[in-house]
Parts: sequence; C-alpha cells; structure tokens
Amino acid sequence: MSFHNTTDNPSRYEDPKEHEEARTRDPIERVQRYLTALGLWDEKKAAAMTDEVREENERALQMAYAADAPRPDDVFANVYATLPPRVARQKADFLDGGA
Amino acid sequence: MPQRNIVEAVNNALVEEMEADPRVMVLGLDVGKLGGVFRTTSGLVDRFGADRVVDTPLAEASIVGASLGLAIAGMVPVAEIQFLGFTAQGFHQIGPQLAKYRQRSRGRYHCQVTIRAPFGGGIKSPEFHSDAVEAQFVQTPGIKIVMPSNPYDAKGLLIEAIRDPDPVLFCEPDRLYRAMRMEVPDGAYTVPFGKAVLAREGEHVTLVAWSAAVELCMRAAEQLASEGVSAAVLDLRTLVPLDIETLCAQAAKTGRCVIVHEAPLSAGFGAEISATLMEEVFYDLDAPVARVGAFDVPFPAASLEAYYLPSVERVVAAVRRTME
Repeated sequence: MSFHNTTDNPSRYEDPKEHEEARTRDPIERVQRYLTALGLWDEKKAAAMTDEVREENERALQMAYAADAPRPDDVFANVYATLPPRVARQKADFLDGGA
Repeated sequence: MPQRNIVEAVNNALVEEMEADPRVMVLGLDVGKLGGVFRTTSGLVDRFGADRVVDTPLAEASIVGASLGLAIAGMVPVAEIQFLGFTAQGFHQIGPQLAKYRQRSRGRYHCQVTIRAPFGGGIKSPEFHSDAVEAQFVQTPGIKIVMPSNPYDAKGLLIEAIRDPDPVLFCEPDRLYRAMRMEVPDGAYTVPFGKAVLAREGEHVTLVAWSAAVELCMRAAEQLASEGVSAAVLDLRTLVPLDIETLCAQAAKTGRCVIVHEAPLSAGFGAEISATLMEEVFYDLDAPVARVGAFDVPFPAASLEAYYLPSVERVVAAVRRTME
C-alpha cells in the first residue's frame, strides 16, 4: 500500500492504526496466502513473477524514453477518422503559426 | 413512394442497416418487446432476435459503456437512451470515454457507436424528459452531434450515423415524431453530415435552426411572409460537424440572422453560431445577430412549457427587432 501520489500526505488525515489494520487486509498479500494454502504459490514463484513484471516495466520505460517526442500537432491526432472542417481549420491555423 | 413519419423513418433505417450488416445491433431500455418508448424499434426483436435487439436494465451508463465494449469487439451498436435528459446518468461513458476512446488508444480502437435519444419539449412529459442538452456534448470533442428535423433526413442521417466510424449522438425531436409525413424511399440512402440545407428561401432575414426548431421557424416564416418579410430557414442538420460555409454565406446574403433553439439561451449552441458569424461575416451584416432560446430556467412543469419554449411570437418579435 502506498500514497495516492507524491503530493499526498496521509499522516495529515489517516490514523496510523487504521493503516496497520488495512495492511492486514492487503488484497495482494491475501491472494498470495490463499494460493499458498492451495499449494499453487510459493516464494520462488513470487520472486520470479516480481522479476518478470519489473523487467516488463523497465522495457516499457526504455521504449517510452527512446520514442520520438510527440509533434505539437499530434494534439489533433486520433480524435476523428476525418477531422471536421472546423477542427481541420484549427489545425491548419496552428501549423501556420496563427491563433 | 412510401410516406413515412419520423418514427417510421427511424425504424426503417434500423431495419435497412440490420439487414445489410450483421454487426449492427440495437440495445436500450424496452427497445425489444415493447418496441421502444416511442415505438421506433417496433418489430425489430421479432425480425432479428434478442441477441441483436437487447432489452437492457434502466442504466444509461451501462447502456453506453456496453456499446463501447461491443464496438471494440467488432459490433456496430445503436444504443437508445430514452430521453436526452437521461444522458446525465451516462455522461461519463459518452464524453470522457466513448468520445475519447480513439485518442486514448492512439487510434488502435475506434467506436462505431450511435446513441439515439429523443428530446425536446412540447409533449407535456414530466421533468428531466424534455431537456435540450445537445450543446453539452459539443464540449466533448470526438463525438458527432446530429439533429434531424424531418423524416427524410432522419432516415438518411441515421444510416450515415450507423456507418460513421466515430461515435454519433443522434437526437430525435419527440414533438415531431408523428407530426409530419413525407416521401421516404425504401432502400438505404445517406444524408451527409456537415451539410446544412435551406428549408425555405428568403431575402430579408435568415432563421437558423435544427431539429424541432426548424418546424417552428417554418411557421414563423409563414407569418412573417403575411407581414411582408421574406425569411429564409436554414436547417443545420448537424452541430458537429458544423457547416460553417453555408451558414456564413446564407447570413451574409440576407444580412440579418436570427438563431432559434429549444435549449436555454445562455451558452446554447446559438451562442457558438453567433460568435462564428461575428468572426466570419461581421461586415456583411445589416443588424446584430439575434437569438431566441428557452429561458435560462429549468424546464418547467407541463402546464407551463408553452411559455418556456420559443414560440412563433418570440421568433417574429426577434425578426422585427433585426429589421428595425
């Protein structure tokens, strides 16, 4: 369990006891305990999956870093199959350096 | 050639497209066994079966959300929300989700979804049913907004909507559902989006409208003619895409323009049209652009709706002001 985002500060509104109590109900941990009890899960599998997910995230991050920066007029991309005339004109004016 | 009203035209469009394309399906509250609250989907479940004509729970967010998922999976859903005012319960699924899905997935997915929604006043329905909230969806780019005013356009625009690769909000004027009949041919045809049409020629002033307000403007133009004022009526047909070219050319031609809509005046789509005319044809205008809308108050009880909605009298009065 973590914060909502980097500007969040749960210490200002959350009772630490509530947090500790909620930790005992962490659904990811509960599912792991449940699967372990069924003999379907163990630490080795958990570690392997963690590595796999971490690598997948890392690949995705590198791909995103390596991608070309979006072009300014990409704000008009993929909104409609064919831009309505008014939006097409906004795009043309924008590319023209106008308003 | 067969004569159809809007209910029959919508039904016929659905039949044509479901016959032609097995991916096309209909879902919504009571669209199956009942045939829809206004009977627009009458007979479809018998013809195409309950797998393609699905009665849903009363849950607008789920109706639209399920349509989005079905579209991604390759179906072409036509969802019915019983009244446009009820889209409030499904708004997140329409604007933030459906309209944005192409962009959110960087073009990997698109949503070929049509949402049909009857709307508008004049039939003495209870609260929430009559709200003309079409402009709210202009602020959620990615969805097209279609507002037919007559049976021929209703069929052609609905087929165009179903075939459009992007989501379409298709608003049907409930006051006009059975108010008029006209020639609506059998067989599929489309009416293109973004093409306004001159419903009536006129020299002195242009009345700009969509959906049921077009019919109102036609009556106002008739009365104005008896007073010697020649009023054109421009039917926008679609708000997104907007036919700026025809709008501006027509306003410039008559030099006077009155925009009429059923939605509350403030921030209604009339404000967008007026601003567009200021930007594009200001120097061709002979008078300030005028607007006639509903008052900026909630849609009232049935006994008061005639006073709330724009009327022939209010349209004529606005025209007289621009003629001074």
